Amino acid sequence: MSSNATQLSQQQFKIVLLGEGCVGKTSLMLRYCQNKFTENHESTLQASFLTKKFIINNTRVQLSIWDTAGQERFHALGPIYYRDSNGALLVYDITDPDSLSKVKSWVKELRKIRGNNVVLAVVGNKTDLLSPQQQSNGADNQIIDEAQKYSQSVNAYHYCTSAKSNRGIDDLFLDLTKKMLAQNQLIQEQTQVKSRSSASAPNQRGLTIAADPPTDEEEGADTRRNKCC
Amino acid sequence: MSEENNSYVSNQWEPSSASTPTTTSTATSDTRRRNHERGDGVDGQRSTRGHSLSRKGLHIDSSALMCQNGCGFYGNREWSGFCSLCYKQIRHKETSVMSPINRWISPEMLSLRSSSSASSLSRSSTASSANSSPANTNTGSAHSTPALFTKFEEKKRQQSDKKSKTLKSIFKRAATFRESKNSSASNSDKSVSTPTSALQSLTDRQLFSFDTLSLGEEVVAKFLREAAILDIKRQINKIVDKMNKSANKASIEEMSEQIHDFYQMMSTRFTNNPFYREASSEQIEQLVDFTERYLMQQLYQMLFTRIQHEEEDRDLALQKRIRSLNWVMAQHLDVDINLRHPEIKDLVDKAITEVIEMDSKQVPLEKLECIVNCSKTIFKLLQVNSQEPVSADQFLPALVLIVIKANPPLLQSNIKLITRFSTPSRLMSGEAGYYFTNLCCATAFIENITGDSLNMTEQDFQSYITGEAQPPGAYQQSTFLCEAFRIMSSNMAMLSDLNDRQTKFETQMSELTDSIHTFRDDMLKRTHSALKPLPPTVYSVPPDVDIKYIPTAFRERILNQRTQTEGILIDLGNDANTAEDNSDVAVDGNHIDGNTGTDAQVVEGEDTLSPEQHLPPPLAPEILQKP
Repeated sequence: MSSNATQLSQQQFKIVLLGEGCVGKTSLMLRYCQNKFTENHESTLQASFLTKKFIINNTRVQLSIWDTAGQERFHALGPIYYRDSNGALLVYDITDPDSLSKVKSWVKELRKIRGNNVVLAVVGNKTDLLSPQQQSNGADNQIIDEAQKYSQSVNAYHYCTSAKSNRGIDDLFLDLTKKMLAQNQLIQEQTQVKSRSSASAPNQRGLTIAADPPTDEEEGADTRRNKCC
Repeated sequence: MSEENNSYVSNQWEPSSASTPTTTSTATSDTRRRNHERGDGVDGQRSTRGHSLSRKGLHIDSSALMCQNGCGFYGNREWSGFCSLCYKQIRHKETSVMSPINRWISPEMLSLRSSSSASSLSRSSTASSANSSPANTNTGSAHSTPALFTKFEEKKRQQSDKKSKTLKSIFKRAATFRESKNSSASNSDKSVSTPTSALQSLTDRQLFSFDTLSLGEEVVAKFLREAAILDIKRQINKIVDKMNKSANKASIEEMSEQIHDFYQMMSTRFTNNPFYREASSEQIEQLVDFTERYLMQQLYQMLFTRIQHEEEDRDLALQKRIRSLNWVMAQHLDVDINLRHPEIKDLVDKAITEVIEMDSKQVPLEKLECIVNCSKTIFKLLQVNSQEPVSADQFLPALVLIVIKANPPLLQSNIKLITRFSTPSRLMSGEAGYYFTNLCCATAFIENITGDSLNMTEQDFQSYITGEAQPPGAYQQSTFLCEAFRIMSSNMAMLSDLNDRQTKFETQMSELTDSIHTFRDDMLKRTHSALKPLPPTVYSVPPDVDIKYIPTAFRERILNQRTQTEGILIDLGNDANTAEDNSDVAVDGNHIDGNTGTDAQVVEGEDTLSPEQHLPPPLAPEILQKP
């Protein structure tokens, strides 16, 4: 086992789940973490902090998923939650335009505090509530359209899921993990460049603001990687 | 061998016994025996010797003279109960290897922790296992007191306990206690002491709580050889010295940075240094924990005093704030916690205790453990009423409520200590980090709480907070009531609740009786009408039906009818076809179908049926029709 561990690099990611109450954050997370690991989970007591481990691209990945309280009164506490987070899932209800506007305010805050170090995924949940034609057409819904455009404008990724019928959730987390891995690599490279360039401060700590990731290239890389999993 | 094992404790604990071993009173020997037994209770499990029962008559004091090392020579109190040879060896080991602070965490202590947690009495086990280990930590040859022997000891102690609980014995015990304390303290100051006395001084100063070191014994046995241990000690020693030197100049933030750098350095060391090559990842995790525990125990006093000083205002402000919020109830936070439910009440109390307990721990890791425990309890209590997993939407308000009810001491200082001096990775991810973040959130929420966030007008909120008014229903739930009052009010509530239910039950009862009566009357009516003799029913059988398909009972009846009333029935004959042909055969006149033939009719009355004919075999409808 130890030899295995040395071969595989290990990565830990913290993902925060943000979204208004009743958009299905908790069910999303439960669906993802417990659908496959029912036995492994010590308890189904709580659904606010769950971890998931898997191996992707020869990397051992551990996702810690942090659920947050969605009530309006706790909105101001957001920054405490997403400190040091690698990824954020901003969940909205595709039948509720208000929940999307909430997402926008969160995105602003996240970008302000975490800069580009955080991978944002805007998730439209409850696609099972769409009519069958809409489901087949994909983005026929006005809200989804808007969300997609918005996500592109803030350099976030957009997904549609349904926790009820378990659609798109595994893909969502897998994709997000890949993007976080890429992001991490980018940051590492940059810190290396920085530390090389500024030899006077080799032990530079703290945040390094990464430039905008080359989205197109990344997307291409993702499609390639998709095959192996 | 067993004499020696018995002896070392007594030497340690009874300084006078070496000079006058035979005159030791029963009282002191009693103390000694107890000490011995506690210490060896765990170590002795490994032993293989079974003949100890035969040693029943052994007088323990006589063995007090032997060397603790079990080499067979006599020991001496001056040499901490060792013989001159062993003592020289041990001292050599110590002075060459351990600096005064390092000595506090010798390998002996690691093994000691596991044993003491079992015996839960660190003082006596300190003496025993610390003494046993100098011989050889790795082979474990020192752990040799037989299990059977300890059982016997227990018995004997109980017997002698009865006899010797005199005032004299109590005095004597107290005296020896203090004496050993003094001697050990002075010894450690001169830094020539044995591990025992160093430990002794530690426990006396309460710097070290053994139960808190959770480095499993197997770790010690398997891989934590002296080299690795020494390395950790040396590193920690270095940083402790550094911190102590710069304590007056550096700010908390600078110190925190130093500590974090140190954690970073240690974790790279754990992965790269040859000392730790054999360690598995779990063991390394344990080592990281251990490093944190040990380091923070060293620095706790200094750091926490500083933090407390800096955070005093905020601590007090928060405490005041929480006190003014003591009226906040579950419904204000939209969370379902019914304090009248006995199980929930217990769990709430447990959670409150756990979050308060946090302040009593020294190491951030242990503080975090308290928070985790508290959170788990909250999850449990939220689950009492619902079967679904608890989400953060419910958890955070519940935590806020618990913190308000608990009003934990020095909360801000504790949070600061944890954020600044815990292993960073623990706070960033991991369960503990999550719960800690939630606690921070709850604290921040309480600090900034407004009427709006509690679903009430600002005016109401202000009047509640100043104590001018109380929210409805606050009386029953408030924690400031003494337990008896709370129980009384909850009982009152329960009684009125029961009363309501009783009246409801009674009205429902009378309703039910009424409906039963009407139902009975109705049924009686129906049965009366049903019991009236039925008029004969006429069934018609289509003429084209094969006689074969008509059940025999009816077949007979048809014939009967034909014989009784002329002209009623068709002469069916044997063949359906012939029956069809003979369509001219007459019926009773009611039913004549000229085109398709005549229907056969059966007159059936209750009186005409014989008992066995009462329930004819079921007739499938398709049989009655033309095939």
